[in-house]
Amino acid sequence: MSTLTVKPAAAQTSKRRGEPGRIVSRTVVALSSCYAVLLLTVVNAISEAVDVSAFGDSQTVRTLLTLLAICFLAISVVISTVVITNTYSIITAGRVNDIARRRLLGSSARNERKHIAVDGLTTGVLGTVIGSATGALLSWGTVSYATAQGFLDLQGRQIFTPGIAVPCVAIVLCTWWAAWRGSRGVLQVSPIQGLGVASLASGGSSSGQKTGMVSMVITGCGLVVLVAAALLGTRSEFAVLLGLMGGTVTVIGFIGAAHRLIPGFYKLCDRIIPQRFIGLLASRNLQRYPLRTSRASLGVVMSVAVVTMFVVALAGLGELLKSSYGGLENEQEASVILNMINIIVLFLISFSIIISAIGMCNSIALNTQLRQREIGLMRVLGQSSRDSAAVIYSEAARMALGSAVLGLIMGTVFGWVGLQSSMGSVFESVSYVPLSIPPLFVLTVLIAASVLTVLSALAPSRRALSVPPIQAISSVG
Amino acid sequence: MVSRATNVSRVYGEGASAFYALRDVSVEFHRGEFTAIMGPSGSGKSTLMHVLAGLDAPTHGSVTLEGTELVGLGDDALTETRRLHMGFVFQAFNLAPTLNVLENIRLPHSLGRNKTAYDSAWENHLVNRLGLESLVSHRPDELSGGQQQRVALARALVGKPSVVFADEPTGNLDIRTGREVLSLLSSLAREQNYSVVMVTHDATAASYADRVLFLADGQISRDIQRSSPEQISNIMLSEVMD
Repeated sequence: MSTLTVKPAAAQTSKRRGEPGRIVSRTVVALSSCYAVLLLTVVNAISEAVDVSAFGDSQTVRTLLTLLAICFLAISVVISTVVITNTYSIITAGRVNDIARRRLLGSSARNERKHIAVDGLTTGVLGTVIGSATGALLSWGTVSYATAQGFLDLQGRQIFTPGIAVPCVAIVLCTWWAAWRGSRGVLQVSPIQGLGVASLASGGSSSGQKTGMVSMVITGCGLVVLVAAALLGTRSEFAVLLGLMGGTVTVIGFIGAAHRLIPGFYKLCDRIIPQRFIGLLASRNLQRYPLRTSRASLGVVMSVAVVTMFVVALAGLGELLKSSYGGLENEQEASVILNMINIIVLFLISFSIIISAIGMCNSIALNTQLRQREIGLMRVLGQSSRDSAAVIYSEAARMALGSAVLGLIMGTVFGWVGLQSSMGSVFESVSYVPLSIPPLFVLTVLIAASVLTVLSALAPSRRALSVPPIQAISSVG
Repeated sequence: MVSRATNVSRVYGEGASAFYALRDVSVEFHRGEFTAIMGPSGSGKSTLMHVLAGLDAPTHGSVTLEGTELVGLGDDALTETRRLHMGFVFQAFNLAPTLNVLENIRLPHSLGRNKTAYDSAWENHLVNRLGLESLVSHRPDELSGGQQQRVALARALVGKPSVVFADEPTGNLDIRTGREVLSLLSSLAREQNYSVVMVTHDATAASYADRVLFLADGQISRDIQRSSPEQISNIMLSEVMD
């Protein structure tokens, strides 16, 4: 059965260890800079085209589009920064033995950290160059195609502006910072650990707990403002400004307190859904490193929330229009426009979805690798290989489905409050706008989350089971 | 007889570079008997334990547990055999870090999806006997090394195994705690009538055993009855000097 060749396999795993994180980080950076360039050039192209055609107020269109682009760019940069921070912090945890050994031989902690930060800077620059070049090529191709087909007439105006450099530089800096922040674990490694088997303590430091408290209070305040906006929405359409403010404050607070709120939400789900022993193991694994779990989930939560917000708001608006102008020809026209907006939003958020999916897959892969010894112990003590894989799948399912559901809930709240605060006072017959959640949309999100579960657990569970249990137990680190 | 290896060889690699970790080893282990396997690093003592426990398949030969042949069994069958009939105590990293003491003790039972009967009275007895009453809800990282090994011992014994495999169980402990764990291991073996197979290179630890096997270059070089640490050390030294 287990005709193992010990040495080559061991050499392979240690060789593999440095690479996956780096490739993932570079891919994420490249994707997010490609997205930035693509988004800004397309916005430029549309603005210029509107300008040329002298159709409507071009300045308003440009401002509106730019604002929208900045919002979506900010979301994607935040998500990719979180993903990269997580990658570096897990890699650092996996390299504790190496680092301790070098510390023992006389390398300073600062030096070790500088190493990782330089790696982050290289990743940032390389990824951004590749990504923005690809983005530029793509948008140039799209614009020339559209021009050749006659959809677009720019009359020789430029779509590439110096402003495109701003997000690119921001992405490089964010990657650099992410590597620095993620490598903080190095400071906890003492040289003496080089003599034995070392591990990192969990990432919940006391200062982290405090910022968590402050952020939770901010989240609470944001929610209060959102309620106020919904109530005020019955009287005045200016409530939408209050709603915008409340939404922004809530999101900022949520990001700050994510390491408590997201694992807390998963715990709540565990309470509601009865679980067996495999589920218990998976859930404990997720609760063990709350910071890692929240960083792996945050991107999915945010992107699902954004899509849901638009879907719920527009579906509600559709119902509102139907009840007010029911049966009129305009209704058909309105629903076409609403669907178009949904598709555009989905397109805009697609890069963020991909980046956060990559982040979640990577987090599960690296975490499983770090837990190789534990998996080996379980196998020796009598866990079947099927059950070992089931724990990894269960963990992935909890994360993917849990964050999708959390995103759906948050997006629904934001979407309804947004609609209520802007439209609650417009129609005399309605003071509270209808809450409409398209079931097909919810189903699609849940199916996508299930696909993500399988994608993220497939390779790690196979790799984990390919290592014979005795080797997992006897190998150090 | 509980566990038996007959003409077992374990070869790594092939042809000229082939390395014999075990070379035609035949040995039996009996109920109620505490056996120590000694030998220098690379002598094959860990490989012998892994083969006996069904964690590694021998290249040649036969391994049985309670009369059942282990060689050729599928992974699931081997896993179940380990869970139901064997107990394990390792040098370190014995316990699942996310589970508390009681959950760790029940781990093999839980891993079997609670299919077999579980003797709670026996669990209670072990917890008391090993002095773990006040620790049942603690996590492993809140325990000392000696406490962790006692939890591992309770976990190994709670399923009433035929044989307990211990791999350097006192390697990470101070002398007094190590002695405590060893005397528990040996007295419980006699009381409960199971077999203990312990791999060690510590002569003092081996002196707690009823029987000491010496391995050198993948072969059993000596098989002696209970001896003092001095006698065991002398044999070890003479093996190395040869």
